[in-house]
Amino acid sequence: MFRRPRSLLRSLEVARGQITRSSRSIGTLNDSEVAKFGAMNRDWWDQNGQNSPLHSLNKLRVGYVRDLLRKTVSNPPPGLPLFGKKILDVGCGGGILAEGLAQLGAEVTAIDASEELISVAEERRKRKGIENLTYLDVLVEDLQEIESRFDLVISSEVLEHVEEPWAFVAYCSNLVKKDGDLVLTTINRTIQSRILAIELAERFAGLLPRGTHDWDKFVTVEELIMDLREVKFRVEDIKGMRWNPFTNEWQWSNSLDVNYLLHAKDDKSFMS
Amino acid sequence: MFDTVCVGAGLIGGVQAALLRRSRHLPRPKVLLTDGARRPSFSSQLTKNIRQIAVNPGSRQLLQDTGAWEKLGNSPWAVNKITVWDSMGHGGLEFEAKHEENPIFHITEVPAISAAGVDAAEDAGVELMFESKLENIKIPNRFNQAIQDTDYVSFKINESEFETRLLLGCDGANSSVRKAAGLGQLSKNYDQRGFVCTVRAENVADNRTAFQRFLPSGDVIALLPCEEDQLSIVWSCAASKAKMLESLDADELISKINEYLVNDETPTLIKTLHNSLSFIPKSIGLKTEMRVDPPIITEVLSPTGSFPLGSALATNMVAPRTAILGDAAHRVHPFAGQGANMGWRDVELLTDELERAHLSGIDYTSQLSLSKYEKAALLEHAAFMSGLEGLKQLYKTNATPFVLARNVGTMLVNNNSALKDIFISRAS
Repeated sequence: MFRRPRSLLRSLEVARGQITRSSRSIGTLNDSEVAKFGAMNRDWWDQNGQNSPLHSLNKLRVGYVRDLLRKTVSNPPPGLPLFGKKILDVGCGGGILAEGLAQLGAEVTAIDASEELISVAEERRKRKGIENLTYLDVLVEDLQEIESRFDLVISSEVLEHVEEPWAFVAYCSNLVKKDGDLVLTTINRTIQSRILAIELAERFAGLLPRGTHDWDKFVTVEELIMDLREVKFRVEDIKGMRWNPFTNEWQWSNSLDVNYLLHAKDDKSFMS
Repeated sequence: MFDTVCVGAGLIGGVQAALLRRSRHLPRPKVLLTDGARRPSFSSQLTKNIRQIAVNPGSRQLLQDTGAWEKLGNSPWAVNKITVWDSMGHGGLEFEAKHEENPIFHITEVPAISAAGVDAAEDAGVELMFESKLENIKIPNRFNQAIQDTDYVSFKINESEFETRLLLGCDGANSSVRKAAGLGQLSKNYDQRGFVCTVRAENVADNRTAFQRFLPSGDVIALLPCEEDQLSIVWSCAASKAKMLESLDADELISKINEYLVNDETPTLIKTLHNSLSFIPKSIGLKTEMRVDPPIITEVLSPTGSFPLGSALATNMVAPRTAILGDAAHRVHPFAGQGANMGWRDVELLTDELERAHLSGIDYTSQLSLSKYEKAALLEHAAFMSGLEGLKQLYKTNATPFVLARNVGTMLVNNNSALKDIFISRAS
């Protein structure tokens, strides 16, 4: 797999703070992927539907963010351990993760390339009267100019669908505040993930719609670590995640072979 | 829009409402507690209430956590010992609390707990509506594919329309919430009633012992101490017998109860077998006989009454945005004194799952959250209820081998403190 020209990455100087307008020629958008998920908008929030694993995954990903940030929130109101934390969710889809973070009190900005999904999410947000959640129909590269940065940027189950993952990671990292956190979850490109995520889940058991994933686009742990090193982010934690299709429950796992979560922090002060 | 509406201000409704408001892990939900009846009040000292229940330590902790327990003051009566025996042979069991400060359970009046629950809910900021019946309850359709899961429960009270993200049926055996949600129930009618009254008794020492006697007819007489010399009687028996007991005058009733507490119905064959075989357990150092010295009833203090007995278990305890708790979901024979405690257990299980869902970034009123409660509660209750049913059948029979087995079994349990601990932890 030759995913990307690494020399190109260097020439763009995508190190944090150095992304210029010109670098926007490197787009992360994959139109067919956006169209594919946009078409799923009708039953995005059906917990028993195609997205059931994404709903139950909140236990791990929201739980991880909660435990990571709760120490930094003093005297939070009951039930709002993330009170006041500024979080960006990149590739939020219909808002399953974004809403989960907002319900714990975080000030969440959630973006997605799909207009259909953003409208689903926004309709639901209005209906529920959630005030600490903002949905924007933009790409991560279009957000680079905004003034304030985020305590935490998360992008969950998105990396495996974007063009140029290295650029995507760079854009995400650029939106993290100094000493802030970057959390990514994705699928590893291994023989196991090929068997589990594609052959079994999509083709054999039909647990996921066919064509949900394109194995060639999966990102290995090593590639992701390299991408983060390019933008001077230090990897703090990597955890495997395992889904049980019979109970629709996720558990942390020692194996990084299929689904994994990676947590990184700005490393520039450390390097210098 | 309410976050949660608790229907029914009985034993569990107020406690559930207060607990949700007081939770450290839920974002101060807006909760309504409503009941078709008047606000429950603490009974005056003059009229003795006839319904008393046993509050086990787990339930007591829950009542303490919600602020309801302190409202009961000194009225809960601590029980440190339970004596169970039958009228055949020598099978008797005694369970004793290890420390006096940790009683096996407390006996408390039903309306007092309901009133305490409502007061605690009010303190916690729960909105209250009494004498208001829910009408036109609309529960979202679970098969509606197009939903973005934003359909909530709607209902009317006095012609006003309300909406809630979660509807909790704490409204008893004839639950209107269960019916509106179309939740099924497996039920079994024993054609039995529980006859109840409160009496004064002698021979009760400090009155910290509860007695329970199994009769071969299937009757179970429970004597629950509730004050220095007072006992609350729950006599479960055939419906016709309950009616008969209700028709008796005080003197006749007293002699009837006393008679049933001491009679010996052991068949001669079993007596003979016992006498000839008792050297075996004795030779290995087991206590073979337990002499039970039951209380003597002297005066009837309350009106008498009875209530129907049956057991029932809901096949489902949740529907979209809806859950049922307590008697709305399950009823058990009162001999184990567990009905209300199972209801409070539901309150704990449900609240735990709601908190866990919320902290996991899952809408706690959604199916993903409620189905976990359903699974946990059904699993626990089904296992417990089949155990109770078995125990009851065992005591009902008078076939010689079973009576012998029962007597041997109870003797062994009585001599084995580890086994007793298991029984006691299940019963309390």
